[in-house]
Amino acid sequence: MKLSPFVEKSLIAADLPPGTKKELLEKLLSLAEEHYSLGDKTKILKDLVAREKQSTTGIGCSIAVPHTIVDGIEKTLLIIGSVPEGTEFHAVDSKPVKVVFLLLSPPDRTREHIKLLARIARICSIEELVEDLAGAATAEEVLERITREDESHVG
Amino acid sequence: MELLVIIIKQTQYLDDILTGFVDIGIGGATVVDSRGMGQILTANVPIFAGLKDLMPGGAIGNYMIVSVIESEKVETALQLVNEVCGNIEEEGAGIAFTLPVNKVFGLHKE
Repeated sequence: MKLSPFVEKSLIAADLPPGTKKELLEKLLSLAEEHYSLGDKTKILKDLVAREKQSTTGIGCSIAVPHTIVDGIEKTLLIIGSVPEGTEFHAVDSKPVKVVFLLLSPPDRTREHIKLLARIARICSIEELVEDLAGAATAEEVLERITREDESHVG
Repeated sequence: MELLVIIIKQTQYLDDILTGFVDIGIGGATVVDSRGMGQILTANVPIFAGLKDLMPGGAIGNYMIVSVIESEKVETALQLVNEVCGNIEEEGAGIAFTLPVNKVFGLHKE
């Protein structure tokens, strides 16, 4: 599955400062809210935090993929944030997280949700890509890099 | 439809292959803990004991991944295996093959 069709320039926050996990999630949700109706943002944040408590979505290699199913959103939203300095996310490898992919999907798109998680997990095993995304200064750079990766990757 | 069979020695590749399956639209697979001939011979037949290094995959177990997949996904799946495993052609690394499937019951399409 290609990731780039789900990546929107307006939903990319490059060069974010470090912060707590909750602060970062709030920032990314606020960015999404500027462009899409999210309904009850507080509930989404609560669900995301609950998911993190269950087990961290900091999957290692400087990547975190917080995700939840959201009632009422019209389509799957992928909000990307890069934190060049790295931020604490209680990742499985205990390393700071530099790129966050926040995935919100409507209840009728769960299969797509799972595929996107798989896609993100796959491309994020590419160290060079993660470095490029973490170091991207603009949303355009993030979008361009993901599109380039999509073209060369199996699937 | 085809039956895809992958046997890999590198256990660390298992997660990547299964994640890749989800990504390319293969919705299910069965994974079996398996043992290669080399491993059994070196463990059970005294004359072969001590030859673990000479037997392809003789020292370790492996995983067999089986999945009935759509024919058009075979090439992508094999490409995926090669991408994950690096070079499956290397002796002892593993094996991947497909077989034609005549009839399937119980497989649900996406």
